[in-house]
Amino acid sequence: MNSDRNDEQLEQVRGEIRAAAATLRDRPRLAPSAPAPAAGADGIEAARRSYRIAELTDPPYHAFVEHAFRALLKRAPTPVEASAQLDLLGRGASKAEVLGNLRWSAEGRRVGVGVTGLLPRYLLAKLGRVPLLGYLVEGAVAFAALPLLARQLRAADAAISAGDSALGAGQKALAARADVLNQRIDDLRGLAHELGLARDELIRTLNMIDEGLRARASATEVALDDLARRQHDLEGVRRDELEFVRRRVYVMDRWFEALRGALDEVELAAGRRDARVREFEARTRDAITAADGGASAARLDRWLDALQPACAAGARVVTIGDDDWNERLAARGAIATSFAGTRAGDGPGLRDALAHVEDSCLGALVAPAFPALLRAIPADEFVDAATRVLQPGGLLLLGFAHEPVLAAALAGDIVPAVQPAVLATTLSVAGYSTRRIDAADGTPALLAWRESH
Amino acid sequence: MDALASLAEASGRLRTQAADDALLRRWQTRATVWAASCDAAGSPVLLDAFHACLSHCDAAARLLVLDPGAEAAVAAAASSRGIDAHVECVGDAADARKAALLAADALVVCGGGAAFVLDALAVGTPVTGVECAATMDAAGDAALLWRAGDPAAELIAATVERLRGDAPLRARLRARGHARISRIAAPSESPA
Repeated sequence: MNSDRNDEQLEQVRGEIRAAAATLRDRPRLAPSAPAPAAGADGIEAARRSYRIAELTDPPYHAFVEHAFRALLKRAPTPVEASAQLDLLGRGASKAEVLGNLRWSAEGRRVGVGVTGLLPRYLLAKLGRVPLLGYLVEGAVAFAALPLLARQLRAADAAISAGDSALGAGQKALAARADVLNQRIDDLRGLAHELGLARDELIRTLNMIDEGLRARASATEVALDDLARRQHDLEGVRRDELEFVRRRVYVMDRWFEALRGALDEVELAAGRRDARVREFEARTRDAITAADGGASAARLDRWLDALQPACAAGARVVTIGDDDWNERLAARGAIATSFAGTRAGDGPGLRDALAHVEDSCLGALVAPAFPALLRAIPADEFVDAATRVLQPGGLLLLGFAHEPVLAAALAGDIVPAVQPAVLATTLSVAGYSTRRIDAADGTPALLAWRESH
Repeated sequence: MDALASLAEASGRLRTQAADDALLRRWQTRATVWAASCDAAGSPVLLDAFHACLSHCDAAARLLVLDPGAEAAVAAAASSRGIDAHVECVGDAADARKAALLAADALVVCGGGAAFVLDALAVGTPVTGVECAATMDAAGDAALLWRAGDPAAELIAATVERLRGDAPLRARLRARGHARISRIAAPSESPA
């Protein structure tokens, strides 16, 4: 409720302001005026409008004039104005007269500052300026003020005496101070003399250092020149050596290029040679195989005939190193099994195969290329295995077919050289009887058996 | 409103800040004194209003510009109207700003930030000027603001003249300003 009333009052004020604003332009235009004089920053109390006279008369001489202008006219005096008022004081005018002149000048009246007690004093001072009457008035005033003047004179005399005493004490203090200062000046002179000596010594030392530095600088320059010459020479040598190395590198580069070409030709020739060797080996192997095809049949027939007693129907025969025997043995009623591997790496497999053959179960064991078999198993181990697996009366046929040996040699294998006579001796030692059977093409074989007891 | 609250706190500090006595004596004259805050766009309105005051209300009036950012625009506008002798820039010092606000008959706002409005409310100086969001937000119902569409120059000049001569109105606005500052600065209360 109170707020509403306030708002209503404010709205009413707004309305009144609107009305005033509407008529603002209709008012007479004011004459341009300077803004209100500045105060405060320069010591003028612009807002102050009254003073006591003692406030204005207390400051002495210059300060009195300055303060009077700032208080009564609210501005500082110009140099001319200050000089005129000081001149007035110098001609015996009272401070009240100076203050009155300022206060009741045209400017002072416009400013209108009040000074309590100034008016009667000012009027009295002005009355003293009137001829004859002024003299009488001033005389009367002076006569009336004689006791006061006498008292002020005595006070002034006492003040002067006190001032003299203070001045004397001050002079004594100043003299003592001057003595101290003179002593300090003497000390300073001595110090200055010592400083001068030290300065001369320092200058001499600096000169010596300067000379030493100059000499070192000269030596350094000579050394630098020598160093520059050496560097120049070394650079020349380095350039020559670099050129030499560069040429050598070029020569080596060309040499390496030629070497690379020669190596390429060598590799090409080696490749051609290897190809020719491979071709020769292939042709040779083909020729051997072709030759063996005819010889093998006759050979096998001769050796099969020798084995016939052990190849009755149902007899078991194992052949090592040649598959062709199986069919032929089967045709004669035997149960044929073969093991083809006779190379060095076939040893474990061969031993394993023989180990799985039961004891005394084979009618015959055949190795058509016994020397090749020796790459896989030693002769004595093979003979022992054969002794175990052959049934009583069983036959062991060990051939010396040379064609596979030659083929193996061409393939890079080394076939041990074993003579039939030596093998016969070995078998004999193992308890075998042997008989040599030569095939139609002359290939030898040994037929071995153990005598039954 | 948090920003306003922090500004209000700053205004509270200004309220306890000592004013520059020399400047205060310098500006406290019998003539009308305007403190003013404006931006570049508001400076023509402000100078038109002040010119109207010089022409029809008080030929010795003085304009104290608080906003340092508006000094150039105000100086140019015053120079073009031939009234630059009556215009003075206060500067950045808080004690000078407080002296200007204390010496002024009113703070006249024609754009610019809310900080000077809150400062004026804090020291009890009436606020008038042209409505804008920041000024209305800061002053609330504690200021006599006029819409931009109104003949703002004459209205502002008449408002300052009214504020200068109407002590009860000044007291009412001062009370509203103090209430406004207290409301904004109180963290638990939601400002009106």
